[in-house]
Amino acid sequence: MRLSLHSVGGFTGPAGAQTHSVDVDRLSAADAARVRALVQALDPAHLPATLLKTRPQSWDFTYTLTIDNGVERQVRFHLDAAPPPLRELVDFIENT
Amino acid sequence: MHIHTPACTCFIIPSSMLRKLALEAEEAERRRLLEQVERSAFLRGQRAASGLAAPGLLVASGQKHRNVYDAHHATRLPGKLVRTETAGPVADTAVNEAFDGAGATYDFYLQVLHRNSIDGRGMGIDSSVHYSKRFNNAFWNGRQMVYGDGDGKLFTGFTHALDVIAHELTHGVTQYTVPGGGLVYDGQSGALNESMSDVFGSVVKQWHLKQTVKKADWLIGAGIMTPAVGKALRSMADPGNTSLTWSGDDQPGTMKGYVDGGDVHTNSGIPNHAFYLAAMKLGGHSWDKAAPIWYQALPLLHPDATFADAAQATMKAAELRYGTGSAEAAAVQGAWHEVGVV
Repeated sequence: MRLSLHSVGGFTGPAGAQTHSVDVDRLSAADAARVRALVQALDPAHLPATLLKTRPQSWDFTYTLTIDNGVERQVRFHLDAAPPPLRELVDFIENT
Repeated sequence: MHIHTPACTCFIIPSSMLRKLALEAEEAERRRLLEQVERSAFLRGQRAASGLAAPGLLVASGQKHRNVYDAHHATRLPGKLVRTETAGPVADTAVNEAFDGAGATYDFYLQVLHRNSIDGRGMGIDSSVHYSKRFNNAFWNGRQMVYGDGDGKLFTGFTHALDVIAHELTHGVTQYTVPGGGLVYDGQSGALNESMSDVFGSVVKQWHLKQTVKKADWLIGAGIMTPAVGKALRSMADPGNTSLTWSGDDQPGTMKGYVDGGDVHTNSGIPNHAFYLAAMKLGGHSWDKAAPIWYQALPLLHPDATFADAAQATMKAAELRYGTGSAEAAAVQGAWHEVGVV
């Protein structure tokens, strides 16, 4: 399983957009188990395409998470509108 | 019986009436009424932003309260405190640049626009440097400044550019000044939010360098990109001119190039260019007339303001400051007309 996280916002906007990718199969056993559990909690098959705030502020980065687990799923979201497992995934991916 | 005093900032004379009186008044009286309008609108903005009643008059000005933290390449904020207001420079250049840039921006707002810090009430300015790893960005998170170091391939860092610091701190000013909690960061209101930050980012840089509107480069983020990538992120004088900026610059300068559903950093080129044109028409220094007009327009906006609303607000602000039919009001109207908004 591969995860890809794209984020846009801040001063640079699209010019400074960043993408972090994680190959879950290459993580330590503990990290891989944690990530798989988070993805399972997200239930990708039933995840809406967007989880965006209706009235975002300048500090709201727009994230796009792509989950490739044989089937590719994508969700575009603001952190404040994301469920806890998605926020935890962002934290994990950004700090890996 | 306990008598509850409702948390409300009330004004006996409506702002609309004060504005009308100001338009009809002599110069000295106009300025006095204008100050009253500004203060009323400012307090309304404060109340909307904080959800609490403004306590009344603004607190005494002039004391900076800066803290700089080191995030140590993690994303948890604020990080370790490394410099305070009472301490001198440290060995880390990014720390000192963030500290000094916040100070220069504070000084501009206080000395030129008579505003005491981001919230107008002396709010401390906290900054965190070395955020995340190879982070190509800087941002205001609603409470503090955050700076990445850049990846060294696209961006070389952000703290050495005063306009970047002033841009981000101005997001805080907008948050606290536009009644209703700031400009919604989407569509035209989002592009206006970006533009207000570019405007004051550029003006603070010009003020720091003592440049006239003709001497200024009107570039946003000059020197933050590696030379192989470009010279600056945006140009207010000529939005979308990639020879002045970088190959990915897609900003329109007029409504003819407006991008439906475009990013807020794209369509902000239009109000950016309107400010540039107004400043050039008004001449001298951008902080003499153009910036105070734009600043005074902030409390006249609302969270979903459009470019047309911004044009009306800046024209109204120019009339309030200089009179109906004044050359200044005409300059502002002409600028918005040239970019196709009015």
